Amino acid sequence: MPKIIIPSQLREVTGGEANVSAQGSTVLELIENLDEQYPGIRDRLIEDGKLRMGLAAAVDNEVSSYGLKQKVSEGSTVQFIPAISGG
Amino acid sequence: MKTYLKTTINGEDKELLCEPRQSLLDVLRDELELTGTKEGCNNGNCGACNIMLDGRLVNSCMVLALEAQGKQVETIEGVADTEGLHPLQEVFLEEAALQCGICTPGFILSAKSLLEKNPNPTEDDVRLWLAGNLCRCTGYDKIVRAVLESAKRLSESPQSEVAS
Amino acid sequence: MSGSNNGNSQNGNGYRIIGSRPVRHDGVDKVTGRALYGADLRLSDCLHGKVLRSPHAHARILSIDTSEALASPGVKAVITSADYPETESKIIDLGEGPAILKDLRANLLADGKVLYKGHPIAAVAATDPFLAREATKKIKVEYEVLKPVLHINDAMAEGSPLLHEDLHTDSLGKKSDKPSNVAKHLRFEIGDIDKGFAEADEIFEREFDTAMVHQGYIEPHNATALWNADGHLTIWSSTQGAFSVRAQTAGILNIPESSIKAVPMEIGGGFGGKIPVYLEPIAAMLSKETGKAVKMTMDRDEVFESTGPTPGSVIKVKIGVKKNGKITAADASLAYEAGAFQGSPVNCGMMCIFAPYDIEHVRVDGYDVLVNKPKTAAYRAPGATNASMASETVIDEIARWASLDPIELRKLNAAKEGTVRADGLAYPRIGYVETLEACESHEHYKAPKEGSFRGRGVASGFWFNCGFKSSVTVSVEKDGTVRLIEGSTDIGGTRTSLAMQLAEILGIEAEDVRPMVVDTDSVGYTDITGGSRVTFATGLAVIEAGKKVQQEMARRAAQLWEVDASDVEVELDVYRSKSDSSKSITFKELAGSLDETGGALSEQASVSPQGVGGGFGTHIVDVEVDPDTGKVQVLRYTAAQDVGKAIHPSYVEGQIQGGAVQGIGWAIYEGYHYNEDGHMTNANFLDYRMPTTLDLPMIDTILVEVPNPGHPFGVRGVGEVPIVPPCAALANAIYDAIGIRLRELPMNSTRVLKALLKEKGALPQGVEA
Repeated sequence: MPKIIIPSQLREVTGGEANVSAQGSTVLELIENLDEQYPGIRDRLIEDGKLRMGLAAAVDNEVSSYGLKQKVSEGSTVQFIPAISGG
Repeated sequence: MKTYLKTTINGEDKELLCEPRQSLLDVLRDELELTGTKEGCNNGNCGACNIMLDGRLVNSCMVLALEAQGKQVETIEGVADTEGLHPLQEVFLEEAALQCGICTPGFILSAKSLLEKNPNPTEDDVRLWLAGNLCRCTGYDKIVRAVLESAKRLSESPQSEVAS
Repeated sequence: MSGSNNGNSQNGNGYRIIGSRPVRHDGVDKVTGRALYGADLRLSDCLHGKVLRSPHAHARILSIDTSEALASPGVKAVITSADYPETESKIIDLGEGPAILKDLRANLLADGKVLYKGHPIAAVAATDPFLAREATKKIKVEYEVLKPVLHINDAMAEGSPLLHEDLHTDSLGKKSDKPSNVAKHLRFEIGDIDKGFAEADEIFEREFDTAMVHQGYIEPHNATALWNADGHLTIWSSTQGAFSVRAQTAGILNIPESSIKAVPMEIGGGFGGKIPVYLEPIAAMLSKETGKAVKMTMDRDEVFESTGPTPGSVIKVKIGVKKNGKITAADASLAYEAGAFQGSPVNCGMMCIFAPYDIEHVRVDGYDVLVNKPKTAAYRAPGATNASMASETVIDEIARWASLDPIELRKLNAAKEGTVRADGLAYPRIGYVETLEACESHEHYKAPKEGSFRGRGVASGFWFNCGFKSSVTVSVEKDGTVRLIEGSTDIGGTRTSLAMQLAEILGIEAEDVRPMVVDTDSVGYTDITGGSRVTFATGLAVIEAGKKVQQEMARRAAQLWEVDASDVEVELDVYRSKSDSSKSITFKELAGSLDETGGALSEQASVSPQGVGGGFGTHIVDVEVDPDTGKVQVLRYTAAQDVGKAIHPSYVEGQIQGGAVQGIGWAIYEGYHYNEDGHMTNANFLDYRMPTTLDLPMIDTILVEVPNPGHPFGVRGVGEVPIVPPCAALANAIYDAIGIRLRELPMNSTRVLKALLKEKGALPQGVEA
């Protein structure tokens, strides 16, 4: 099952748990399924159908332009980090 | 009320009417469409508008157009001739002495005026003379090297126009 | 690893073009004054626009009367925020990130409140720029002046005046009950911070305060817009991203992006400051109102007061360390000025602050804080320089405490492949240790330090670099030259770094490629020139399109010889038949036969790459401090950086030298100076002191090449990293020279002199330290 590292500020939703697992083949599915275990986490991550402004999803240490539609495999680790831009 | 201005730009006589408040930079760019001279600050602080007025390096934003009455003006457009680029221009390209290029015309005019006064400048001479020209991209390293290299090249070819 | 300045590149690792130093393709235009920048554009029957800006840092607008301005000589239109079209959407996608539409609009034309001195209120179009400016003075605005909030600590204090009464602090989706000037709180946490500090033999806890600084590009912002009668809008401007101009303008004006053509003119420097638009939508509205083209350019004071500088900050750092120098825990709190609207790069600062180190227990808090100053923007590795100033000076203190050489201490704790950063991501192959080793063995570091009031400092820095989206089109000409059509505005020589990659792939010369940056109608979608991404990401598009061209050329050769395409092999620019060695043709010859083999050959590629290679740099600086004036003179400077692979070493060196010098300016000269009314008192290049030739020595560079596995040639972005280490390197050198730790930026002569006097107990009475 894909692993998810819960951002520090959302660990209040997971009862302090930083490392959790959920089923799913995309980042969105993962979040949807996670929300069943930890109600409310979806709305902390997703806004207007997209990842919350300023947030990016990294699958196995790589951020892609696919956002919530990014593919996730069984052994993947998903993290939520700030989106970056540059000068 | 517009005033009559007659001046010589890069060897060509020009006659036009301009407002007494207009700077030489404004007239070069807006009336004569010589846009190679750049505006960076309009305050005499950055050197992007450097030109030669009767052989003297000036910030054209700080000179009223009417002060050029009857005088010789040299701008970046007059630096290269039909023979090709000026050695400074060539060396700036070879040494990658520019990035965005907005300050380059000012630097070339400024460096040219230095080499006319002092054909064999030291690094300190170059740094002192160019301190009136701001470049935000290069950190100046390659510009200073380019001016020193140009000096070397020019002094090796004494028939060059810089000697005049 | 290859040599420093102006040496011949060691081009020996299998490449023909990469690593060489051709003259840039746009060079002649730029040394002769023919290159056309935005302000150089001349359109027929063009009006000129000027903006009325707020004289107050914080005030409510009670009324605006434009009637007298409208009746002024030459005036054709006056607009205010009331003229914005209605819109439904709240957030617009700018490609490289979303933006809050309401804020974008209110920053361009104030809506109800002015939030910084210089905040635009109205704009005038007239037949002449002078008349337009005169007319702005006739716009009557009544204000209720409010107390400005100018420092982070004041903005965060209980009971502070609020910039936006409806703004609540967002903590990853949870809003604070009470409104606040803190728009965002973010936290990273790995390991167990308490356990980490418990393991430490000593804990260092320090606080830093840095001033707002400006990118200081020499070319002021400009924009010309023509809203044609057919509904199509064309915008010519100085921008880091034409597609971003299009997206921002379309969002603000609520029109389809496809109805806008954005034409990127030559750009006179950007460094992050020319990503947001300031004039484009206003010029467009004025053009719509008047039916004519409208041109707008900013004056230098407008650039300082009304565009996006990069934030000042208050940073607290706490690091725990063992006697042997091993770091056990690190904690930081970063509060960055967002300016008048939310969105500082504090997130990037948080990710960078401990990025060079492998630390098990880390916690980082970040606060995005509103103040009555211009909305901040990116500036070269946005957020990282402030952060590095804080962490890298504490690292220097730790090295001295542990009696270790500062490079040794860094090597002992250095991040490597697999190290997990505070944000949780693990590094791929990085070259940080290599930069440390390069500095350690460099002649500069080994040179003896001589003379009193002289010192040496070292600091390191990290920047992610970006990927994003890029598109290119490559067409083959009959004479065997190649056109490269791209959408990445060229700020520092990327036309050439891209052309070189294409030439390498096709086996032709860099001069045989003609790179062109074109408008948004003429190339596929391309994100900004920013995040040090162009040579990497647009480079990947170039490589892909180049390979397609090569494949198609091989197919054409096969057609010419009436053999199967699989029979054709390519080596450099020679196409050969595997089965018949007499059949061979060069790229140039084959290009001449395009008509006989099916006509024109043109290939396109669009990419959105992963595999971005982050970059590390380590800098060494020697300074001398004048004990009588406090002036800091930079005596010697060496910058080592992991550049992945230098495509054009001269321009890579140039990026490092330029970034280092901007960092030197940030360290010892530059800073927005505000009076108590919130007016910037140094909004010109005389008083906002940027480094000049006279202030500097040559900047030596060491190009460390640890190839990025995410790019076929190993390219890493190089533009941003070099601005990160200088502030801390200078602070450490100043400490080495005078034995005083400075924790405020800029470390200008006033501040250094006060510190010296205070140390001697000689600070005159009434002078604040």
